Amino acid sequence: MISRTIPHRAFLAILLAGTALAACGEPFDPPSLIEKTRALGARVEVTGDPTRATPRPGESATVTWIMAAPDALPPLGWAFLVCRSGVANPAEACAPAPLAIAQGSGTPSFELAVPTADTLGSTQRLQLFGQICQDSAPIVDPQSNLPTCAGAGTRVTLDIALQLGEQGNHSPALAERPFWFDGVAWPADAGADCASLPRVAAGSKGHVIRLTTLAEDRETLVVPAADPSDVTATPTTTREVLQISNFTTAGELGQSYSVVEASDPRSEADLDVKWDAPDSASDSFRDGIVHFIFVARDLRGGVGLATRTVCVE
Amino acid sequence: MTARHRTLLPVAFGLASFLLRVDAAYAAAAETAEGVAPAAPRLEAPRLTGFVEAALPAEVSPSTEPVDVEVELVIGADGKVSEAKAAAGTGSRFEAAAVQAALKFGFEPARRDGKPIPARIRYRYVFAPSSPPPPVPTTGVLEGRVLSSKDAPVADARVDLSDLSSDGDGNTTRTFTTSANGEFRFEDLPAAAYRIEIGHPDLQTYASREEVSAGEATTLTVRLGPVLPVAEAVVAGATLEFGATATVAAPPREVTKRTLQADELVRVAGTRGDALRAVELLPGVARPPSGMGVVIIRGAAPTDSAIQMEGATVPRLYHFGGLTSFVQGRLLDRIDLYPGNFSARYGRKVGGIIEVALRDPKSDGFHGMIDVNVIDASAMMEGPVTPTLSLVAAFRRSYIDTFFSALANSSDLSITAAPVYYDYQLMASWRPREADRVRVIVYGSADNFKMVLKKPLDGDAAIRGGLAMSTAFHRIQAQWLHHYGDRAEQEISLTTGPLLLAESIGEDVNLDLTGLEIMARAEWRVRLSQRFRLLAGLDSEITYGDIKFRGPKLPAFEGDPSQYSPLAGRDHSALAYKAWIKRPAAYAELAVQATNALQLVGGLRADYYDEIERGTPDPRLVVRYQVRPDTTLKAGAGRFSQAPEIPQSLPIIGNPKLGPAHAQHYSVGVEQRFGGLSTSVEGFYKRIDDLVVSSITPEVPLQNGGRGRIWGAELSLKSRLGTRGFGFVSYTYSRSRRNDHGFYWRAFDFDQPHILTASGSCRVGYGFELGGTFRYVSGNPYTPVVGSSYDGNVDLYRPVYGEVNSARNPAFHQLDVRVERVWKRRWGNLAAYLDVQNAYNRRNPEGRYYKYDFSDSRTVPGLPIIPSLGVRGEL
Repeated sequence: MISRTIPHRAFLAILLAGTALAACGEPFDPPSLIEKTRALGARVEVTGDPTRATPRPGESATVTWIMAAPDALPPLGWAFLVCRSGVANPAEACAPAPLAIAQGSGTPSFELAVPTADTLGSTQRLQLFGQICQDSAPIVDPQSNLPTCAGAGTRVTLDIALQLGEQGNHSPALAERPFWFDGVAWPADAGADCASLPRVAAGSKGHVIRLTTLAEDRETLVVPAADPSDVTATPTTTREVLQISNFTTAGELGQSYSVVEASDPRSEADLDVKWDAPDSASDSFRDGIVHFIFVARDLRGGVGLATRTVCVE
Repeated sequence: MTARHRTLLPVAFGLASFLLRVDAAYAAAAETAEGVAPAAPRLEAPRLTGFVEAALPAEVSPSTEPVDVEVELVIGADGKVSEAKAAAGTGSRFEAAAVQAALKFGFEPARRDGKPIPARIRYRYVFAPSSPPPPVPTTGVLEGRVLSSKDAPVADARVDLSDLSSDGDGNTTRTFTTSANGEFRFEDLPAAAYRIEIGHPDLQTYASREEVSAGEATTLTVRLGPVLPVAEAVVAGATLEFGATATVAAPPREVTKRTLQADELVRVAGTRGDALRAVELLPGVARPPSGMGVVIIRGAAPTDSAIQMEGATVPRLYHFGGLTSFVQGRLLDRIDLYPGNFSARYGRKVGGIIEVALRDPKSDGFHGMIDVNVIDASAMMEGPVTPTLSLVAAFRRSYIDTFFSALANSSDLSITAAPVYYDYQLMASWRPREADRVRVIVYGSADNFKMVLKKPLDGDAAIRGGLAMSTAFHRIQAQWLHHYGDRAEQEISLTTGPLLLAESIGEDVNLDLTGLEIMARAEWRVRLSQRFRLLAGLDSEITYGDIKFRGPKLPAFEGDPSQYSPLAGRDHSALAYKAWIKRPAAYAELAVQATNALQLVGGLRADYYDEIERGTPDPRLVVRYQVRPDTTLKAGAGRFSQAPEIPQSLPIIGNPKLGPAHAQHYSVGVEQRFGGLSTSVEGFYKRIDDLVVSSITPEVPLQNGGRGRIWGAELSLKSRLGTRGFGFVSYTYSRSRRNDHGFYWRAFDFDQPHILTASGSCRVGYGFELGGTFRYVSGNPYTPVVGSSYDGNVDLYRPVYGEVNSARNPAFHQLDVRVERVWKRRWGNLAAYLDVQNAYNRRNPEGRYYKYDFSDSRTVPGLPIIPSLGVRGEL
């Protein structure tokens, strides 16, 4: 019976997870709150063409992980394996040997030399498996041959799309987009002391952060026809989805993600996020300086970054 | 020729007039009782105690056909026949011989409330031919017809039969509800004395003692006089109009068949009067997590069991979230659950079968029902159109939408179409002749729910925007049942209708299915002899599907925790597919009554699955051995096959090279009656091979790499408290294990080792009925998350799972209670009820939810205490 076969269960599970559970269970801290040292994404910049996120076989690119912590970043140690993509299991993806290995300390960043097309064969994407450790250097697990941390750390993965045709994918230029805080222009790098920052009262609620995205932040792409056996079906053209991850080191953001859908026809899309300032007695209040980090993704490998700061008094 | 006492017919023309006189007396008595309902008089028909064989004159020629002579008898209060005469009065020698013999008969006199009274009856004396010799008798039949005092057939009268042979306690052992023609029939009765009691809410009660002899049919015609109308006062122990039910005891072809009678179904606490929800309380049925709305039978996945209504598979049993079933419970005749080793007439599944049967519309007048409660409202109307044609129509709609939007709308989400469901049933039943019944049933069900998340979900940005689910199916079914004499019958049904399904999550996940289903079944049932019965049939399902799908590839429906993983970042596929899928099948079953006690049923079913171009022959065998009248041993073994669910075998999102799964069912058990207490104990073992599981290779998402082993035992105790109530207790111990690709044995997703259910309901007087249901169920297993990995592409953490289903939630237990009060009015009955689910507000764990990085988790609490208040009126 065809009707018993719907992915109904998955739908219900999602629905349940998304609504009922959130309403019935005691909520956890949202992912938008940076309450510990975290990775927030990774940016791939092709050498010589830093806005392009899709290196061609034989090119080199810099892979830089975006890290954040409630305060200053602790000492970091990291190690990454670059392998063929398409297999979820790292051991299989990296067999017989990784295409590249990178290891270091400080900000996780390394230059990736993409193998040539001859070496890659049919591989169209690369898969990065890695570990970013706090206060320690990663060690190699003898069983899995994967890096691991002796103490606290984060296991990370990254899928790196390769440019096989003419059209490359470029990262959204989020850093160049305008931000407003409660309707006032909110520039980056305004300074590190309260005098030069927007100032809000501790415990105040409902502040509005606005980001304006532009049409060029979402490139056009071609989607193949759904039925490959239908010769009359033609590929369709659509825009990229733009996903903004919102983070703060204190207070509470109204939402962890903002999205401009592929079907959104606007050339300029304003994205509003509400923020409640921390109470002076809260753990996250600290010295009154609150950092905001916004990471934009086109969900095809392109990543943009913007940061802002406010002062809570 | 030898005169033989072959058919006993204590019919009733005389008894009817007698009853009418009694009615008049009681009517007068009732009128003086200030409107308080009188107790119905207890009338017992005269019982033949001394039969005298008629002596035919030697010159009478032998006949090859039996000769019937109907004799009218007047039986005095002393039990002696004072008058006898032939009803037809033809003056034949047969008549004279029969009258002479009848004058010498001895009777236990008719009684009214235990006091002997005179009676007039008709007696059919049958002169049977001396040859051919009769077959070896095994069991007997008790059949008859119930008429009103105006000779109108009385439908839906309850006929209780009690076996008096063992302990004579008179407890009910079998029950029947009369058909639209007022007929009832108990087959395969061991030779014994029985007490038969016939009751109807609007008519007087009849009771008598009857003898059933092996190889003989005892036939009764009973007329029931009316109960006087009562004043508008509370009636103690009033019985609702729709309380009567029917359970046809078909020849047993399964080791285990659990039948729920409709009058019990609508009274089970915790179901809000929804009959089908009581299925979850039967032995062998596990409890799904709240909101899933699936049925899990003997450790089989929900998709491994079928739900059939009148022989046609239906897409789902419940409306959205499992709140309510798709069919009006008061239209049900019965629900049969076959947890395993089911008949060859069922197939395409390796789990169990739920068969829902609808009763005929009432033909004794027009009836109606309106039920209003906090979740939905329903209405039903039925009655005769002509003497041979009757109709019933029922409709139900939820109105959760009227308040759900106000409650759920928030800064996080807005409800654009709150949960709405409706269902309807329309049936016409036509009996043009005694041998034919034609039914046309139109039914359907629809659910719709749409909402908009105003912001993406924390922890999974892919869940955003519009979430929508819309399902609907509409059916029309035509049935024709034809009897060829009393030895053979043919049943043909054709069912067809559209199926619509749409689900979407934002712009990235979308399923749009438009289908047409055609199900045809033709079945022939033949009694070849006293010892052999044959059942054969054809069973075809043809489905047209037009599917448009965009979303992630299908994971296995069971045993793959990744189906609950975040949606963001999953590889998506797109599929547009149209196809006709044909699944024909043929089956045959031969039941052999080897001895009086031993019955063997061998069956063979052959299925063909067009979409995977595979066929499956499945042999099955069931043995039943009646050790004593109260004790039956049973055992069965068989092979069962099931094709992959259709989307699983589609290209791109599934694997067209999948084959069918196969199961072997083995079970042994014993049924034992202790007076009015029915008990059964069964042990079972199922072995399943070639289950569809998630693939271990990247080329295809699914493979036939799974195995299953399920074993356990079920104990059930069931008792009816006369017409006052019922109670049952069941306990199931079950283990259901799976092995994917030969790696290791793990628990099945819904493995619930211990399931204890106790439920009962009792009419306590003054119109009140109290009921309660308690359940204790082992918690479902779950796969622990042992770590996580940050996916830099989509900004979320993906869980790293430990051993599949190696952890288990705490046990579930819950008490549901139900209080109902009935007022009997001149126009009908009015009932108010309070159904309280989770009466002591237990916070049952239904699953786990995790912090965004999976570093912490908490249990998902189940539904809190939910009182449901409702009012029902019945005409």
